[in-house]
Amino acid sequence: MTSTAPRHHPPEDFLLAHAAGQLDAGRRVMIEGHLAFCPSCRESFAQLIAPGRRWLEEQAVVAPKPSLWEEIEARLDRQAEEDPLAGLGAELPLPVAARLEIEAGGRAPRWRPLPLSPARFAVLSTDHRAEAALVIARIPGGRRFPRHLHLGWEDVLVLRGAFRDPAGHFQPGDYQLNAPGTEHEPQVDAGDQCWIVARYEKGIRFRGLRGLIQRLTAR
Amino acid sequence: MAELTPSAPWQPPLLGPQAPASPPPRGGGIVAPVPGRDHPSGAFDGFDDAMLLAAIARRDRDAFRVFYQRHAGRILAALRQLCRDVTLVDDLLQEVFLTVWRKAGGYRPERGDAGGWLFTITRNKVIDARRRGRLPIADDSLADLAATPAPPASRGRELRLSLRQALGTLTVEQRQAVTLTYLGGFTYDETASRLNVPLGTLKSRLRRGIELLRAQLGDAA
Repeated sequence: MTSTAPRHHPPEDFLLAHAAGQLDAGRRVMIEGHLAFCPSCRESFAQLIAPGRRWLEEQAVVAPKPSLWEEIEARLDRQAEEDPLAGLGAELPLPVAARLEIEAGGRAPRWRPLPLSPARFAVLSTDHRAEAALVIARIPGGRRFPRHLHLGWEDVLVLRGAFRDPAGHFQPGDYQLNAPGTEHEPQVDAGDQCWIVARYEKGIRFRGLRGLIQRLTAR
Repeated sequence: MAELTPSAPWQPPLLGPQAPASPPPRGGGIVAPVPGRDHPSGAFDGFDDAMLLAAIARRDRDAFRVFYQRHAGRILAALRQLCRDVTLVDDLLQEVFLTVWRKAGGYRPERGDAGGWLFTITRNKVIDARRRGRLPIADDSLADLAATPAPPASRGRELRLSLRQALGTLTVEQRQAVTLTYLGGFTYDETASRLNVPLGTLKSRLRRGIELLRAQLGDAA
């Protein structure tokens, strides 16, 4: 694990939107993940939520009904605590705060192969309203993630390892935002496997034979 | 799965000394403490919020009760400021603390103190309620905060502005942006539409408003 602070950050607007509670679930995962790595963005975020903290502190205490605590305890007793990502392995390098933002639902995520590639990926959640999916992927050291075109925005957070593409070199904690129309073929550094979590909108289109397979299997 | 084993073991960033080891706290395998045996009366005296949250992440119900007793009264008051439906407010208070229980393992002191973390959980419950139609769009409970600012007090070194007073130093437009979105949990789109301004204008007012509040409230904010 590198101790280098991230050099690529999400736009400031994302931190403001997070402080104002405006992000969708997928992007909350992305931003919480980056905050776990990045001291400077944590400081910025702490400043953005400071007025809210003061607002809460200055409230005059109102005594809750005693039954409210009893109901909370009863609900805790009833609810099962299961990790929806348990099937992806114990080593999943996703910061806890980000992991806890993932909204479970539907089938448990599972690793899937990417055709004609050593990369593996798992869909963590989908957001139909935002037309977005949240995925985690791992690519062996020294290999490329196949060339692809983004039909919508893509956010990428490096969890472990590193990759390079025309936008720069991305290491753990680095945040990459790709505009619609971006086409790239990230090259993973030699050595460690690269783990990323990504939120992408509207889908991605692979090129070449993989693209053909993608189109055929989508029918 | 050799390919999953990195050359250097990965550590979750910012894992504090009181935090649970991976996998993250989701129950399984954690032995619950026994009240009265593991925690004699007053066992949490002197525990700050970060220490309590670390204990809650280890699924310590006694620590959770202490945390509830410490914060529920103010959170209830805040929720009442955002919502006039008393039954809904009680539901939201429960939701806030169930979320505290679920997410305690994700709290790290390095990202700011627990008050800010609690604020975002509380306000986000209001947002969820609005999105699910449980809280009327036309709820006017924010009107007092948005429209009737207290005059700024004359400040000496020893005095600091309250948030309400600091809000009073903003322009009406900035105050509306802050109270409706940041405190009140309306979406950007709802607020821009309500104020009849472009989205970019709303965001600029919000950012400037928060910057000014931060400056007015001082380092202790």
